[in-house]
Order: sequence, then structure tokens, then C-alpha cells
Amino acid sequence: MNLLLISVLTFFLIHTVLWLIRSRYDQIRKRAAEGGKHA
Amino acid sequence: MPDLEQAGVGSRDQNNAQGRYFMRFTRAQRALHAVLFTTFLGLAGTGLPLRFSQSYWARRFASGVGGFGAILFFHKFCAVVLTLAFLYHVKDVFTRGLIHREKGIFWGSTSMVADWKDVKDLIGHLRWFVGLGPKPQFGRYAYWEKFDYWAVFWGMIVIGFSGYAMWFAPFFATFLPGWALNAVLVIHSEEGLLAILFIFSIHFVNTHLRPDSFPMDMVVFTGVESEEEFKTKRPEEYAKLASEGKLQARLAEKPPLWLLNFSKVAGFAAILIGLVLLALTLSAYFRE
Repeated sequence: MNLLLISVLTFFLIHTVLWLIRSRYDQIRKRAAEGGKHA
Repeated sequence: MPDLEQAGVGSRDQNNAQGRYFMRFTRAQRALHAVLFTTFLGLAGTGLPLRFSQSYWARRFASGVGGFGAILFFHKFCAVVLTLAFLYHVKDVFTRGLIHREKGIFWGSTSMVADWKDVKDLIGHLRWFVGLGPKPQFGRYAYWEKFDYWAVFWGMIVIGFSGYAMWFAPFFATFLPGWALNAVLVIHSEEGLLAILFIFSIHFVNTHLRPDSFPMDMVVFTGVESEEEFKTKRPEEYAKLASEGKLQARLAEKPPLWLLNFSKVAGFAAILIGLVLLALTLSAYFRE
């Protein structure tokens, strides 16, 4: 039971953290590109 | 999708002026989600003080609401409401799939059943996270949404059965061995904890708190999303509907302000309660 709990949460925790980082990176890049266009 | 027509798909011309909106969830689906999240919050809010009854906040909460007996009463009440909602959903799925022979319920791009595309999307998504490939083109339901759905479905059966086995122990003892009744206590407690940790951390972040949905994805409350969101979040579904000429049938009215405001209040309250319960769970779990 503990193995199930720990493995599910660990996998999705890593998945979520990587997703957050990538989405934030894309957001910053998109804003920078838009700022460049307006300049 | 006959449901979508009942669900308030609005006048199509008025959409053109201020950007188009598309129906994603029917009224019945939104109502089911509302019952699911309110009863889940109720079950978590009453289950956690029972699970961590030795902790300070659980004792304070119990003394404030009339004792642990009162908490258990509300826990059972929420469980009955959620069970009825679950049974309604199962009946609805089987009626639509087996009796009305609706396509895409048990298999295909509109089904909640996982297929090879989900495996490929998961791998593709992980590769995209680290810059090794393009972002996958998600369809109506992405792999993490299917995982959420089946996690709840599985949880309903396991947590529900073990809960009822404890509630009606004398009846279940007529055909279950004694050790099984001890085991259901552990199963109910651990699976409930897993559900709480998963929903209040992973589901919240994946669905609402990630940068492209932050602070909340309103679609499950309003039922509609803008064309830009639709194209960005579900490019495969958008392209498929466009190529089949079915996009017009999904056009909907922009959600009214009262619905948006009501959804924000309900949604933020749910997220706030969930995060408080998550913090209490973690503090009690690591102090055990």
C-alpha cells in the first residue's frame, strides 16, 4: 500500500514539476518574443 | 453528441463579434463534477480528523462540531451522496454505450478509455518537458485527465467498498473472514490518503495552477472555452472537428458574468479548502 502511494505520488510529482518548469519557460520565451515584436 | 444540444449551445452569429466559444462539458457533466468535488471535500474534511484524531487540529475541530460522532455522521452523509452520483454516472455511461449505442463511449478519440495514443502522448510530453521533442497534440481527453478519471473510478470502488464494509461490519462479517474487516480499515485509510494527496496536489497543479491555466481552468464550471484555448489545449480535437465539419455544432455562447463570478468563488473556495487540508494532512502525517 505504501509502495503504491509513494510510487504514484513520486511519478506525478516529477511529472508536475517538469511540466511547471517547461510551461513557465515557454511563457517567458513567448512574452520575450512578443516584446521584441512590439519594440 | 446529443447532450451538447441540450446543454445550451448558443446562437452562432453572436460569437463572431467577440471571439468564438465552444462547448466542452454538458450541464450534466458539470453537475456531476460539482457533486464530486463538494462531496470529496466533505469526505476529506471529515475523514482526515478521523484518520489523524490524535492531532491538535482534529481534536479542536471535533470539539467545535459536536464530537467525532458528528464528524462520522457527515462523513457517511457525503459518502452516500457520492455513491449515488457514482451509480448515476455508471448507469449513464452504460445506457449511452450499450442501449443507445452512442459511438466513442468505450473506445475511440472521445472515450475515457486509455489507448496507445495516450502512451505515446505521455512519452512525448515527458520528452517535451526536457526539450527533446515537440509538444504532443492532445485530443478531447489527455492522458493525465484519463488517469484522474480512472483514479477516481478505482478509488470510488476501493474506498467505497471498504467504507461500507466498516459501516455495515456485522453484515459483511457474514461472508468475509475476520482479517478482511481489519484489512478494509487499512485500505480505506491509505487509499483515502492517496486520493487526498493526489487531488489536492497533482490534480490541482496539473489542471488549475499550471502557468497556462493559472489561477484556475474555468471550463469545468462554465462548460465552454474560447477558440484560442480550444486550439491551444486540444489541437487534435479541434482539427478533427474542423475537418469533419462538426465545429459549428459545438459553438456556444460566451459564459455570462454571473456564472463566471459564481464559478470563481466556488472554484477558489474549493482550491483553498483543498490546500488547507493538504497542509494539515502533511503536518499530521509526518508527526505520526
